[in-house]
Amino acid sequence: MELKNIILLVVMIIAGMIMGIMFNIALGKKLFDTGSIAGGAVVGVAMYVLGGGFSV
Amino acid sequence: MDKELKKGYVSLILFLVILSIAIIVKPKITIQVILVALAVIIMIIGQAKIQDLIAGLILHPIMAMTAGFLIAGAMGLAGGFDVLLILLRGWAEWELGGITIFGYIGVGVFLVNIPTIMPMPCGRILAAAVIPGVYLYGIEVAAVYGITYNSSLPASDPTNLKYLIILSTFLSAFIVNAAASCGPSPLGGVGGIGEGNMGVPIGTSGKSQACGIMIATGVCALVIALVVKPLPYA
Repeated sequence: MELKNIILLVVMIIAGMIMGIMFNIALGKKLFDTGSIAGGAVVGVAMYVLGGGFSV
Repeated sequence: MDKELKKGYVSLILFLVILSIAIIVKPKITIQVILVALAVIIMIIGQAKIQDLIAGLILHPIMAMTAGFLIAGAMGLAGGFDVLLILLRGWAEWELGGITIFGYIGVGVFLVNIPTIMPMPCGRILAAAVIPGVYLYGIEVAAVYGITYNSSLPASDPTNLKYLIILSTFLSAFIVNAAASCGPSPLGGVGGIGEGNMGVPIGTSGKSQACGIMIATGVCALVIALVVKPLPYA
């Protein structure tokens, strides 16, 4: 894996984790769950691996 | 007059006249039937084939959305959404060494991002097909945290409002992804936005754009939950 791809993967994981934190803030204290950060990280990896999808 | 131009005049006049009559007379049949019949007549006049319409991308978004709705309907009838909820529940409650890894919110975060993770040629396909699942999952999450909608109380009641916020947050985050999730193409979509103008190979910036959409999903959740707040419907 090239360095630029590793950087992109790390950036996507971090972006996913930030999204997870934002979800936690949005849903409030009662629904606080650190799992959302893990979920966000998985989203980042999934988008890196599968992103691109079908071309028209 | 040019033959093609004549066909154009006839089609346009026919369209305007029939539509005007339909508005004035208000027939008992629905406007969709009239429009479909009109479309067929205009296709005959213009000697257009279905392939011509698809090639011109005229039918593409409509067909994509129709396909999505058909899948959603079929899945609903076949119990697909019930199974989806069971699977999501299992994932949310999955433990590793006694610790819940994702929880309901983590799985919800994944669910709303599915359209961007698996971009279709048209974002409408997954949007229409999966949105009932997202809605049901939102209700499930609220129920897990002991939040239910009490219709005997006003929508502004704190518990009811919390319930609406949960649903709106999941749905709006999903919609952001669905709207942004058209697959790479010269027309746009993830990986294609602006690339036609830049002249770079299609899909070059797809992952970077997906990254931006992830952040936008979180921002959307924040804005909907904290700034907009759902409008009471009851």
